[in-house]
Amino acid sequence: MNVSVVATGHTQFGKDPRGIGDIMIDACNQALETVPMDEIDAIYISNFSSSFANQCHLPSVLASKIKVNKEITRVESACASGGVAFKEAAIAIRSGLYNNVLVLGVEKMTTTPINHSTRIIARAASQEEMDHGATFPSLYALMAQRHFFEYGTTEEHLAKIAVKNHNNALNNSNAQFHKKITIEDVMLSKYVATPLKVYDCSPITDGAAALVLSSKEKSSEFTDKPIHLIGIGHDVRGIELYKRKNLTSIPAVGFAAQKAYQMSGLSSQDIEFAEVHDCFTIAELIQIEDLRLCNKGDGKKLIENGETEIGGRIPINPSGGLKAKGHPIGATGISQVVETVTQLQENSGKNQISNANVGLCCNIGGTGGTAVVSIFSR
Amino acid sequence: MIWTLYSFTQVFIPLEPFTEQYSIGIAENDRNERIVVQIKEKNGANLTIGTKGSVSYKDIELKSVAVFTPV
Repeated sequence: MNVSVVATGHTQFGKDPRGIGDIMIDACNQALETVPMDEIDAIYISNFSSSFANQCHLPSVLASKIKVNKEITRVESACASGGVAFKEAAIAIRSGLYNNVLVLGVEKMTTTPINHSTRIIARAASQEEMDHGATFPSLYALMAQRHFFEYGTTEEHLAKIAVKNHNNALNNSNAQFHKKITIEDVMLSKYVATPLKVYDCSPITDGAAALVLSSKEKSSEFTDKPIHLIGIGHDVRGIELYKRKNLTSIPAVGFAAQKAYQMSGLSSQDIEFAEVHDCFTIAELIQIEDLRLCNKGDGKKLIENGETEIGGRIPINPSGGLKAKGHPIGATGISQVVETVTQLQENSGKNQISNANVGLCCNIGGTGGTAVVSIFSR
Repeated sequence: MIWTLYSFTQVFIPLEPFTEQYSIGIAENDRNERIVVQIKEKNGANLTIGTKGSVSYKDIELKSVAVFTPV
């Protein structure tokens, strides 16, 4: 690809008292400690909804904050906004148009009342499903019910995913939750939409993440640990979940992964860890299967055997994932890349995966209508 | 026409403008056509994948909502 990540920034996810402008400038400034603003040719901002922060013109807000004039573009594609912004930035570098691009993701969600937040997030579903009262937890619950029916997956399998991701978040200072939970905690938490319970759901979060992409030739000017983007795939399918041929799969993930594997020259067997989009625990399970990290229906076996834990065969969400690190929607896709880069630079502290050379990110939007899969190596 | 539940979920946090609990489902007919349906709370107990029922339509805030009733 000739595209490398040379700098990163990340706010602590959670409830942040600052306004959206200050949150995003914090993440930017961290990344700009490595690459001076003078070197940045363009900026891409990933942000899902202006309804949360009542701000429809984030590029200009950022221009005010950083006090320089740049080509700044806002990208929106529901929860996959970050992945799509990252892809567009990579294309811009690859084309030779720019040498260095800052990619920023941000969302300020916690000041919005929960009923209104639910309504805003539901706008990433089909109008028809919303008209029937479908919320995002309920749409993923429909997938879970069908996965249980076809493959014998259980609520306990999903609970193990939540427990694992909370364990991983304990050692991630950027995570929203630093709280160890048990299978019993999950099983006794209230239902949101059967079979999904409170602990199966990612939280409402404020946060920002940023990174600088450079051409491979330029990357050595800024760091001795550039992390190379070696494959990326993006796929978009219809928005209606009910029209999907099979509810136990997210087709866009499979097609995006196929493109990313082909571009990288690698197969799923070569992936050593992954950050996947666990907006709900069932989403992690389905993505493990659609990324072909195991056979369809066998995701539960990986979970039962602890293979997705740090130290297991294929660690999934060593950062804590959306579930425990938090899910500021526009920031999530960028945060996944930042966490993957941090792993490959061997800067993940107690969560470090030994000798990992290849990591994968999977960022999805809505019920998986959009998916971006990216693969990185040292 | 007989419809069969392909999947369903009981929703505990209703989406506005709904105020009472309900279930959401995907129903399929014998021509393999699928629609999204709502199921009233009183009919939400004992639902399973494969439950058969009828579908009627009602207007809620100018939107046509398909309502599944088990038979």
